[in-house]
Amino acid sequence: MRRTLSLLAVGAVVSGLALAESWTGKLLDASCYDQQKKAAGCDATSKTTAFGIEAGGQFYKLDRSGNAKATAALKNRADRADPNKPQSPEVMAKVDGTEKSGTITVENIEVQ
Amino acid sequence: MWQRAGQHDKLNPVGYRFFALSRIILASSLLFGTFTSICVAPETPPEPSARDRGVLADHYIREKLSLWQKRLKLDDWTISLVLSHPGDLRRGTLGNIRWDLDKKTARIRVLDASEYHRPYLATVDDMEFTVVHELIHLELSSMTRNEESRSAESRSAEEDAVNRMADSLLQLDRKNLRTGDIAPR
Repeated sequence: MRRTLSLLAVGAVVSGLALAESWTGKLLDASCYDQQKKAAGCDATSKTTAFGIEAGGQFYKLDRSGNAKATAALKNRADRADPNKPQSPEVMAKVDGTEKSGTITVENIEVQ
Repeated sequence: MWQRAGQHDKLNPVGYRFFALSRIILASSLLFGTFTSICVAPETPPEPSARDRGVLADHYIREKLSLWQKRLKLDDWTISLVLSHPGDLRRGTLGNIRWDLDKKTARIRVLDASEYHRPYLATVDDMEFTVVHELIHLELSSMTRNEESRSAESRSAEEDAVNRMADSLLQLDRKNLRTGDIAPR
């Protein structure tokens, strides 16, 4: 009985660790992506309310808490533009969390 | 009238005076020329080696961050500084800031000195500009913003305003350092 419980506990820890993942890619407007079915022209902006990330050729939606975190990350940032180079509208991000059925339950998001 | 040296004694008084005067003028011109070249010639500090450049810039920019953080009364913030390569920055940018208003933490990224293809002094001046620029953004971060103020157009206008403020502050600082009006704090 004790052995079974130990094995179950170890299994739970291992499976928990295995599910926690990171995705790095382009942060997108999920509503725009849903309509267009492509990333081009769907870069996330300050007006975006539903976010997604395109990583490794796959598109993932962010969960509700992820959307709030992405909104805050986009709001609380500023970049110093190089006057000699065009600034890209792309927003790259690193998302940590767990994925289920194409939606990421976001633990943390970092915007480049 | 104009005769060789050694024959002065044979010159008439007017010719001798003219000869003596011309020698004095010539000698004075030479002396003046030498003196002005010593005074006016700009002193160009030697360029640090590629290896020293990074270390010196790192030290310099961290000191400047501390100085400007105090000047802008941002002491209640915990601000970290990361020297970054272009791959770590958004394309077409020289640096950035990300902050957390609740935790009062911020991270400033500044383009690494090794990525600048300029003389050392111009490089660290620009790195300092990035720091001041980002700290002004942080200063403004506590202001309430509506949706419109977060639009791309508004952000661009803010960017221009922040650039002008950073430029003015740095020009004033550098002018004061040159004239010694205000000691650096």
